[in-house]
Amino acid sequence: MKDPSSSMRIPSDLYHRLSSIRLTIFLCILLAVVALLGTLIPQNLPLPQYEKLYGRRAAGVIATLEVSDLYHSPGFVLLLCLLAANLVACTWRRLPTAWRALKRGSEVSAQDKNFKGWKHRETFVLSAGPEEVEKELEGVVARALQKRPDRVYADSQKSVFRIERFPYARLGPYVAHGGILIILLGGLLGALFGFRGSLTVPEGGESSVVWLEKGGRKVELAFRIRCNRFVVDYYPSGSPREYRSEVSLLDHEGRAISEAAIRVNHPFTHKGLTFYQSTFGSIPKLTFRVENQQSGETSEVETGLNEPFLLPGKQGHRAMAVAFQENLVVPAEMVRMTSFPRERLGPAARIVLIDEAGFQEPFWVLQGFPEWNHNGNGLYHVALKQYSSIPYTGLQVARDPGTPVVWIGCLLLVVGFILAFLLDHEILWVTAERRGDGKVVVRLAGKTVRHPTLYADRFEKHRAELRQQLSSWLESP
Amino acid sequence: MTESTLIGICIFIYLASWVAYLLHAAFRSKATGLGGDFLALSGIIVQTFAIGWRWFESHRLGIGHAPLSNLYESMVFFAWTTAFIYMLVVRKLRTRLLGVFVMPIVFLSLASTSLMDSQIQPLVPALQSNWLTAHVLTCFLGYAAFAVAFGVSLLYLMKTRKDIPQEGPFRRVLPAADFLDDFSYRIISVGFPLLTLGIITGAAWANSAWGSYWSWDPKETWSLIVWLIYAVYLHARIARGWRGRRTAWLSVVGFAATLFCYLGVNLLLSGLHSYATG
Repeated sequence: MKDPSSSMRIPSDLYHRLSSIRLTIFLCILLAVVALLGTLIPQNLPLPQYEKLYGRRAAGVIATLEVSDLYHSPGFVLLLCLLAANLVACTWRRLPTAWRALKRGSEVSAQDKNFKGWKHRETFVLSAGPEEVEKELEGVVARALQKRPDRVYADSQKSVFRIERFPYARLGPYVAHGGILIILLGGLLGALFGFRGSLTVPEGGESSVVWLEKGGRKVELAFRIRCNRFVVDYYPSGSPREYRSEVSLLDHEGRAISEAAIRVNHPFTHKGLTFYQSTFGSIPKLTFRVENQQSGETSEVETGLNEPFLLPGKQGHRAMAVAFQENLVVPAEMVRMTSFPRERLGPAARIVLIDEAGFQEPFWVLQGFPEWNHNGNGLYHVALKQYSSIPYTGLQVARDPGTPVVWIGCLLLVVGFILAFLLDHEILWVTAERRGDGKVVVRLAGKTVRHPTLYADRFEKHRAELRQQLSSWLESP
Repeated sequence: MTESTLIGICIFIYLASWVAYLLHAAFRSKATGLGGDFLALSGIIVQTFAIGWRWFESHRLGIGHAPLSNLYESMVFFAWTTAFIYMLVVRKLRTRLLGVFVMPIVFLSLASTSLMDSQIQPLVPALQSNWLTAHVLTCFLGYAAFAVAFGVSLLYLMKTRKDIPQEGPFRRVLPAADFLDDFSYRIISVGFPLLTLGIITGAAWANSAWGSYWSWDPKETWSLIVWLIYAVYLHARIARGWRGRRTAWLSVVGFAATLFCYLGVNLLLSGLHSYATG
């Protein structure tokens, strides 16, 4: 048999190693061990956190080897590529043989029909006349074994019939492996050409900015999303029953292109982009009254979080609200300073001043205790006058061209399993031969691709059926 | 008679079944063997009723869902599927000694549920999906098959012990080593496609809920690890030097990995799959 590798001119030693099952076993185990590592070492943390967990040196190693994003690191991708190469090589080497075996049916030649080496066989000696047997045998066999047999050979002395079931079951492993390759391909397509990000839309507001998961960049969409309504339903027990974002997609002029209600497990797709209900929360809108204690100037500012605003006065300083709590628990730093009548202090905003020296130490401003705010240099007095909360919906936005490819791969994998595990390529032979004394000897033999011990029960059924159908012709039982 | 009472009864029935099998291993009387079988079957019947009752109860409370949604329900289901697959398989294996190794798994899993919060909870939005039933069903049928294969592999390892050359009474009664090896292969070749379907349905569910069919979440990664171990098992027979005790140990390691995937990940690691507290 001509080895395909000789026509490819790949070094045959390399080819044999690449297409060996041992390599498959080795790669699978290695893949499992590396994947395990990624579940023990937390993924995608910033470097300082790894330093805190494992120390400086180990953190350095983690960063260099990209263990922090293990499953997308070059090493891991290389392992997957090797496995794919191994799958391709194994298929290249073994598929032609399997295909030939399937097409040809069986290696047993028409001459050797005693089936001496076969594990599953039976012999029946008939007392009926040879002419009658010859006429009826095909029908008898078809009834007993429930399939029309092929008459492979016939002469005056003997006839040979063959029945084959599910020859294509031999292709099962190759279909399954093909499925795995296609799944890997789909994953690659998604990694190269897809993206995932998050989009936050306040209720009643619009957004078209998607923050990408990888690299923290942002992408501007070709349309805007307006959240018309965001609804949260609760069970009587207090846990959420449903979150629903009712959105409209608007084009540049503000006309509605599309409408949708996005719920968890019910995403919305528009032009290849899919939107998923991910999270929700509320954005505080804060109103501060600031007084410059040196010049006496005051101003009122309406602001959200992390939006720097100008403070009154010639100095041109700025400030920014960095946090907001509806009901602040007394922070440690304040307990030391003075005593408070209760543990919870009501609405509070955390402010940071930005002057010539840069960012100053942040401090809390309490709505309920306006006389109390400790702002470091005493230049400004900040009071929290009002606050409101605007709910927002957090949507996940994703485009993954690889997803349909992955589903096709999964389908092939399942079909491959059905062929390989559920079905079985079975070959049954029935021969009828005229013996010297004029009696006809009928032989039945069966073989299956899977392990013989599993076949015993099935063959027993065939044997019993054939005996039943031949019963009128049989010699004394 | 509430569901937890029924489950409590099942725990004792399964324990009794295990004890019967242990006695059967020691004294090999037909009565103890039959007793073990009868008790195991009774346990399955009562437990089926209990699971159905819980499903019915959830509809009565107005939060109807298949009882597959949290640690308690999944553990009850795991005990049931393991017992169920055990019953399907034990007659073909022709030895009740399998019960010595599989019944404790059933008993312990069900017993552990008495430490858990068994209140019927409504489903949070992420769990409201048809994929839930398909995913949990296929995964746990796979896990159960691996549990039973684990038992058969243990029997194989006992049968082929090299350190004690003489065959004691227990070993003599076990079927041939080849047969046991073949049998665990058969069971794993049922469990592996089931696990694969479990992973695929899980990916489909993740795609509709979180926008990504695979995010290398610890649970997903561990299910892949289990999948790889059993893939190696299925291919190992073709490779030289891997048959026999090596593959039996692989089946043992595979089941340990299965347990970690099911419980260890949820209880020890954090991620998208973390069970709601308790």
